Amino acid sequence: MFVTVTGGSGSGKSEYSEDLLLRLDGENPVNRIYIATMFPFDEESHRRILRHRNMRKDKGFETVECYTGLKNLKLPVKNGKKPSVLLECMSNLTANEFYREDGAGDRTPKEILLGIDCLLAQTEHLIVVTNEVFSDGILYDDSTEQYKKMLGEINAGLAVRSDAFVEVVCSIPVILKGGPLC
Amino acid sequence: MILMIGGAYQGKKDLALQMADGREELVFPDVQEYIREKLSEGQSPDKIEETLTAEAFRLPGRILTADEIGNGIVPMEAFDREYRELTGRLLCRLAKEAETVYRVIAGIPIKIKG
Repeated sequence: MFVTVTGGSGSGKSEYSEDLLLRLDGENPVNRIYIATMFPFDEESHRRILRHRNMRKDKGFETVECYTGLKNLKLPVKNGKKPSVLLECMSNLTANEFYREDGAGDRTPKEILLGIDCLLAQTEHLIVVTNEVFSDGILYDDSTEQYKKMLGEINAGLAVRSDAFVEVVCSIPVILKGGPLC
Repeated sequence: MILMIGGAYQGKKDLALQMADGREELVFPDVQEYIREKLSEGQSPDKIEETLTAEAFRLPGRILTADEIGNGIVPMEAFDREYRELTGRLLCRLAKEAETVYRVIAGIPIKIKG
């Protein structure tokens, strides 16, 4: 099953997504992978990463880092079982691809959605966490606006591919497509 | 306790007052402003959480309203980032304890919990 989970800052989307994957995947992890996309560039990002590591520490995830080039990621099959994967977070992956020198630049949406298709072929269950960054009404500089447009396009592409699309609001899941979910 | 969230200027306070049958003391508006104020006074997030939850249950049938502020680009200023994230987390906490949660858009309450 493929589920996309969106939400704003501090909405509880991470915790919801982790717990949803555990429900989909069953109690005992055979092959459960967390794809981390946040590049640790300063103290605040280190703290953020640590908070997330602590949140998922007893949930049986093996962490795989991927900052760019999602389509080249090869995930292992274990005991004949494809992995169940949580990818967090699309807003970081998109920023990496768009802003980093080794990233896809203007081809970011296309490359990322290709990466998602590659992941779908390799996974039992896939949950992608993305971010609602579109409603603060502020007009940013050109590159930030371009970034927002790309993330919007990617989110729409995720929604088309998803069996279910969920917005988490104050920790409450609001199902916008598909469902009901376990 | 009822929590009413939504974007700015969506008629949350008016709805809250209606639901409270005009009893103003039951309505605690603009939780996000309370959080911003306490944070800028230098209060710790734990202390803010403690006083806010106590306030939420000070009277039976309280109705809290709050702006959703987390759906934007990560702010440049560290204080704004902390305020935004703390508001999100505290609203998660209040939503967990609330009997009912409404999301208000254009004055229309959508029940998302209860």
